[in-house]
Amino acid sequence: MKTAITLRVNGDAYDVVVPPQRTLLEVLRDKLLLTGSKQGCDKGDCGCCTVLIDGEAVLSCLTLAVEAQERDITTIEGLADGDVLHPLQEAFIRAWATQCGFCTPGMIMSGVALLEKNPTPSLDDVRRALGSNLCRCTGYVKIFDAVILAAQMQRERAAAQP
Amino acid sequence: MSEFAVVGTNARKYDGVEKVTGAGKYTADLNPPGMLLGRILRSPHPHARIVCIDVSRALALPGVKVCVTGAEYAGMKFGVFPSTRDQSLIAIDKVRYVGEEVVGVAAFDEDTAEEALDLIDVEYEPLPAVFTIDEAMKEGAPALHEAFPNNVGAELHTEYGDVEAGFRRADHVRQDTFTTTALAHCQMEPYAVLCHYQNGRLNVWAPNTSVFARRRALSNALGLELNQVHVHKIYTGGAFGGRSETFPADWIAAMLSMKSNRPVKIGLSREESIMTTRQKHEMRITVKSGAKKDGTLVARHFQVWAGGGAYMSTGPIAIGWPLAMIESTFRCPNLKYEGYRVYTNRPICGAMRGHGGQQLHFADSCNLERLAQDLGLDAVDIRLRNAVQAGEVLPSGSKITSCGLTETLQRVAEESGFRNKVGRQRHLSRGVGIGCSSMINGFNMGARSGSQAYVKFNEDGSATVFSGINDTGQGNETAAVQVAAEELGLPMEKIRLVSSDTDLTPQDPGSYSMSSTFISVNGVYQAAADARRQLFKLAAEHLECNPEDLVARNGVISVQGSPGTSVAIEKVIWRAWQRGKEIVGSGIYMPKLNLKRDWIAPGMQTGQVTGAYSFGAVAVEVEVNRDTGEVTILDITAAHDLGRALNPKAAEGQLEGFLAFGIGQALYEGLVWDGGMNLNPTLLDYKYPTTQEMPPVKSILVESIDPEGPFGAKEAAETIGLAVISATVNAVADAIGVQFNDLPLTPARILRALEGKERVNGAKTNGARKKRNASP
Ligand code: FES
Ligand code: FES
Repeated sequence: MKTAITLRVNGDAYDVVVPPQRTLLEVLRDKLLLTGSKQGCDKGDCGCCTVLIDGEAVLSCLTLAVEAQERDITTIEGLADGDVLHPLQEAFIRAWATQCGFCTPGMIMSGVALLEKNPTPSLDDVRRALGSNLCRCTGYVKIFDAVILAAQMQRERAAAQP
Repeated sequence: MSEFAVVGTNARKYDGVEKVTGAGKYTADLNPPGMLLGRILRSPHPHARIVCIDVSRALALPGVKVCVTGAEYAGMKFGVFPSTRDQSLIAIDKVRYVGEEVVGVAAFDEDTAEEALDLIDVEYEPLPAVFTIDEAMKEGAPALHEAFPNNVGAELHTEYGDVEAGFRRADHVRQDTFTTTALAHCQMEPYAVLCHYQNGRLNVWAPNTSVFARRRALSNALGLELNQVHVHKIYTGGAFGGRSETFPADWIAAMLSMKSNRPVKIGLSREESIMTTRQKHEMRITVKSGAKKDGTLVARHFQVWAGGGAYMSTGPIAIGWPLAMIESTFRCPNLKYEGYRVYTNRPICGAMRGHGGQQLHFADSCNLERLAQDLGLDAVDIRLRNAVQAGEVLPSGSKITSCGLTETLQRVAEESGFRNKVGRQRHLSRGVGIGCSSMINGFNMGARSGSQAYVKFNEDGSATVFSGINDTGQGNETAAVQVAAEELGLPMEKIRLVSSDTDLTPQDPGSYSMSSTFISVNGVYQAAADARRQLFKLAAEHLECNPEDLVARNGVISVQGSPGTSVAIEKVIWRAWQRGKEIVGSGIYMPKLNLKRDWIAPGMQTGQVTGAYSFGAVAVEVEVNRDTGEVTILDITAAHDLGRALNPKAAEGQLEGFLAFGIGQALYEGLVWDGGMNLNPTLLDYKYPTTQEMPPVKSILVESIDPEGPFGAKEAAETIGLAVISATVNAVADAIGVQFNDLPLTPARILRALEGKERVNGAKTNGARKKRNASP
C-alpha cells in the first residue's frame, strides 16, 4: 500500500508515492536523487543523515517520509545561494573541517540548527550540539573551529547588510 | 616574504566545495539508468561445510534478475600476494567465518533482493571452530585451511646482530607481555560497490585507496585484460587502511553485472561493512629489552602473535611492518623479531592505521617506559638517549635520511610541562605520559612502488595535472595541486587535477603506507619540474637570457631580480604552439628502495625498506575517576616531523584525526565476541570518540626538510596515532600507579585494576586502591 505525498524540500515541492515505511532519507536519496544527505548507519547512530525540518536538526533515517509532509525540509543542497556558500560551508572549507567529507553534510546541518538558535555559541555549546554527529577523520577540532568561525562570519555578514 | 608562493600556506582544500555542498559523489550516490540492486547471503556459521545451495525459489521471485554462487567461479582464488591466494571469490565448499559470502542476488529493487535471500536454501554441516590465537595454535586444533594444519598462515624470523650476546652485556633486562583486541575501522561511509560490464569492459566504482590495485585484482580474478577494467575516480568516505583490498562484494557485483549486462550496485549495511570488509588484527606481544644502567638499549627480542581471522589478507605485512617501525624508533644493534599470523574463525583482519605497527608500538613504548622506571631513569631521557638520528644506518641496513625525532620529543616534553608534572599529581588521580614513534613513507611494491604524472597546458595559461594520486580525505589532492602550482609558478586556481582513474591517469602506488605525500605528490612535482624546464627554455629564448636566471610566480616568468623583464606563461604557450612545439610535462618519482626486501621471506629483511621515515611524539595528561573507572584526557601535546608542512592546517587536521583514532584504541574501542559472533557491530555499541571525548590539542609541526621529499615533505601524522596510545597508558599509570598490559583501558578494566583483579605487568594488581591517598 502506497501513499501519495508532497514534500517541500529546499523550497521546491515534490509529489511522490511512497510506502508508509519509507524513511525521509530513503526518499531524499533514492527518489528525489538529493544524495547530499548521507546514510552512515540507518539507525540513528551517526548523524550523517541530519536535515532540517522547520529549522530543527532531525535524523532523516529515523523520520518517515509521510511524517515530513507539509513541513519545510532543508538539506545540504539547499544551503548555498548559487555560488555563494552558506557561512558554515565556507567556514568548513577555510578551517579544514572536512576530510573525507562523508560526515560533513550532517555536521553542517547540525551546525546550521545551532547557529539559528545560538548565534554566539561557546566551544562547549558546539561540542554538545554536534554530540550526535560522528566523524572518524578529523578528531573534531577543526569542526569546532569552523562552527565558531561561521558564527563570526554570520555576524559580520549581518552587520554588512544595510 | 616566504620563499614560496603556495607551499606552506593554508590553501583551501581542493575538493572542499564539492564536499560542503553535497555535490561530491560517493559510490552509494550513483544511480545509473537500468541499475539493479544486489544483496548478499552470508554464512551464519563460523566454520561449516556447504552441503548444497539451491537458488531456484529466489530466482522465481518476481523482480529478481540474477543470482551468483561460488561454484560458477570454482578454482579462482584471490589474495593480496600471489603466494597468499587463499579465498574463493565466493565461498564454495566451506565457510570460515560468520558473514562470509555465499550467494549474490540482484533485483530491480533492494527490498526484492533482500526478500530473495530468504528464499535461498543452503544446507550446512557445522565444523568445530577456533576463535582465539591460543585456540587456533593448540595441538590438534581444527585447521581452517588444509595447507596450514597449525593455523599459522605466515611467519617471520629475523635477527640483526647477536641478541644473546647483547642480553649478556645488559645491566638490566625486562620482559612484558601485552595484548590488543580486534578493532573496526568504522569509516563513516559504509562499503558500497557499483559495477557495470558493457561491451567486454568492466567499469567499477567503489571506495578505495588505489584504483590500480583494485583493477589488478579484478582483472586477475575475472580473466580480463588490465585495460578492460576501468576503475573510476569516486570519493571515498574514509579508509584508514580498510579500503585497500578487493572484497568479495566487488566480485559479486562484477559477476552479477556480467550475468545481467546491467549496472549492479551493492551497498553494505553498517554491520556488514564492519564484519565483512576488514578489521584490525588482535595481537599478543612479548617484548624483552636489555639495557645499560644509563638506559642505552643493547638487545631486544619481540615475539608477536597476530589473530587474523579466516583469510590471509595483508597478514605478512601486519607482522612484517612493525619490524621496520621498531628498528627505526629506538636504536638497538641487536634485535630479534618473531611474528606469527594465525588463522581463526573470525572476520578477516588486514590493514588499519599503522597496520601491526600500532599494536607493536604500544608494547614497545610501554616496555621501554617500565625499563626506565626499573633503572630510575626519566621517561623522556631514556627515549632521547635511544632516539635514532638523521644519517643513521639501521640494523637492517635501511638508512634514515631526515629525522626530527629528538626535536619532537624535546618539544612535547617542554610544551606540555611533562617534567614538572610527572609523578606529582597522583593525589589528584592525574598523570602524564609520553610516547614517540617512527613511520615509513611507502614500501616495496615492485614496479608499482613509484608514482607518475603528466602536466598539460591550456591556451589561457592554466594547466591540467594527471596523477594517480589517491585521496581518501587526507588532503593529498590539495598537496599535489599546491606543489604543482608552486613549481609551475601558477596560482592554485589555474591548476586542475585529474586523479585516481585507471583509464585517465598514470600509475600510482595508492595511499597505502603513508606514501602519498612522499611518493605521489613527488611524482606530480617531477612532472611539474619537467614542464617548468620546457617553459623556461622557451621563455629564455624570448627574453634572451639563461633559463637558470628565471623565476615563475603568479603566471608570469621573469628574470630573477628584474621583474620588468618578463613574459606571461600564457604567452609562452601560445608561442610554442604557433611554432609547432609541444609542452607536456611528465615525470615519475620512484623511491630508492631495496626491491628485493620482503616482509617475511627468510633472510630478506635487509636493505632500504622505505624512501623516508617520519617521526612524532605525544604527551598526554589524564584524570582517572576512581569511582567510575573513567579516564578523561585533559590535554594533548603532539609533535610530528613531517619534513615540510606543505599546508599547516591540513597537517594539523591529520594530527587531530590520528589522535582521536589513537585515543579510541587506548580507551574505548574493541570488538566484543561470543565465539565467532560479534556483539557490537554498530556505531552505537562499538563506541569511538565523539565530540565529547576529544580533548584540546596542541599541535607542533617539526620540519626536518627531507632531501628526497617534494619541497622536503614527508608523511603527515601517522606517528602521532601510534604514540598517543602508549602516552595515554603511561599517563594512566602515572595517575593511579597501575601499569596496564591490555588494551583498551575501559572503565571496567580500570575498576578491576583498582580492586586488584586485573592482570597488569603480567601479574594481578594488589592494593592499588590503598594508595589512593598516598602523597607523591
Ligand atoms: S544514517 Fe541516520 S543517524 Fe546514521
Ligand atoms: S571528514 Fe571523514 S568522517 Fe568526518
